[in-house]
Amino acid sequence: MNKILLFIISLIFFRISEANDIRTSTIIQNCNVCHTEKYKKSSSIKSLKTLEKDYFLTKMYEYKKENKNGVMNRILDPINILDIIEMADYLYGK
Amino acid sequence: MENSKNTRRKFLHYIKNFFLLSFLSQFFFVKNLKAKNIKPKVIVIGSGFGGGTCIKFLSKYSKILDLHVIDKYTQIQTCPFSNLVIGNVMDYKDITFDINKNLEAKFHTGQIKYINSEKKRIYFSDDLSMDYDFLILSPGIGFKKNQIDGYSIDDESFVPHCWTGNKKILEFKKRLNSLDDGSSLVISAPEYPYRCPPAPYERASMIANYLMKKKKQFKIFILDSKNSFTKKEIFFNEWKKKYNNSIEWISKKDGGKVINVNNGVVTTEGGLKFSSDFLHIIPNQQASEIFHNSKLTSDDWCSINPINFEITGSKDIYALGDSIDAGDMPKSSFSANSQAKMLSMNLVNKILEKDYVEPVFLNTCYSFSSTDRAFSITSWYRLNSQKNRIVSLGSKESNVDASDFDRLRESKEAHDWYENITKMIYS
Repeated sequence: MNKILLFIISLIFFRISEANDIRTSTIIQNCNVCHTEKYKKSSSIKSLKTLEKDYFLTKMYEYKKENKNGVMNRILDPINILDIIEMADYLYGK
Repeated sequence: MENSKNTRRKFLHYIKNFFLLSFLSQFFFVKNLKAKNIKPKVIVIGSGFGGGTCIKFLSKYSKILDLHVIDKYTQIQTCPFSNLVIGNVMDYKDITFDINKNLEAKFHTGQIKYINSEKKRIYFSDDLSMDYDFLILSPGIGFKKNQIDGYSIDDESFVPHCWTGNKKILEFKKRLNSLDDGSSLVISAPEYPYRCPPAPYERASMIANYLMKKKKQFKIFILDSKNSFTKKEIFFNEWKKKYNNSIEWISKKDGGKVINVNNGVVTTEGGLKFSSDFLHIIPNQQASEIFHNSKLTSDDWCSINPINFEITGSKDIYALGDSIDAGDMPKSSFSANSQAKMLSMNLVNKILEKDYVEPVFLNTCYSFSSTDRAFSITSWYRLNSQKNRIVSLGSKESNVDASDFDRLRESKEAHDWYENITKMIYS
């Protein structure tokens, strides 16, 4: 039921990997511009590899629905929920 | 008789072993040579944000390729954040990095004269040469000449443009520091396209930030060759808020385009005349000289196949960054980094005889208006349906009326981005 709901929600948003011709790995290569592995502990931009899957998903949903027009909110604009789930699966395993 | 038989048998045995060993050693030697030969020689020219990212990425594939790097410098001074050095927010040393030589690559220092794409050979200014199988060009930007009467990019009596990673930023600051109270400054902003679209306006902000810290009165005129610019409304709002309208912008349609310079007096297309104490001309730009010298482009910008970044009509030569026509993507370090990853990924795919992946790109461009106030513009990019042009999925800017907290937060994010990306490339 949840999966059906997620799928319907995802159809509402434009999807960056429309028609599945863009791989999740190429999207994540772009995330690594900021989220490098060599980050300072005090940095506001963490390495994605250091995060837990649940934390990643929660933060991504928060950024997506927040109304502050922050950088992450804008970056996630064309990325829908299915993309986010695929990114989480790619980064942390299914 | 028996002894003689044994001796002959032993002799034949030795002969047999000798030929067997010779054959085996020859076989392994040839095999080894073949293994060496199938490792293509990949040369990257330029170690900036684009080239540096390619080197970092490709150095992880040393088992399948022989990576070489050529740069005219041994140290890189980054263009990103150089305006913060002008604004006294950062030190010159903070934006200067040694090229990272602790990677699986061979590093060469030298100035390249031209590339012969038919012979697949690079010629250096000292007449040495080097062959390649695949060549990646990320040399930065070039400048158009004779665009403004009375101005020459090579005339050192003018304030240095500081639009490349050369070491003239200290000369720029020295001249800024010598200004008296109540000085008038003129910045001539170039026509599109050019490296880092918001940079002339960030530079005006950082000059103002510097002079304000020195408690000097000033007036900055930005004389523009364009009718608009990126993040314009945010800059206007910030200038009003921080510098009490000491920065004034005059668009091309209001006669702002500079056409002549004579004895420190600037004349614009609209007949306006400005006498300034500090004349800063940012030249119009084009692809780096190497593309023109090597006949890799006949236009201002180098045309590429956006799937793999191969130069149109030049087999096995790839280009990225500020010198290429990247469709909707701006010429920024963030863009170059994103392009470098897609190019490298698909070059590895080509070497491994795998299919190309469809690239997707991201750009986020931060600008500072003062020490702790920043804002940004963000966009994703992908290929159009014909797969021959990079198109934007729609760019979005920070809010014009963002709070002081949001400006501070974005300035911290900008610093963190810079620190992370320079660490990734140069350490």
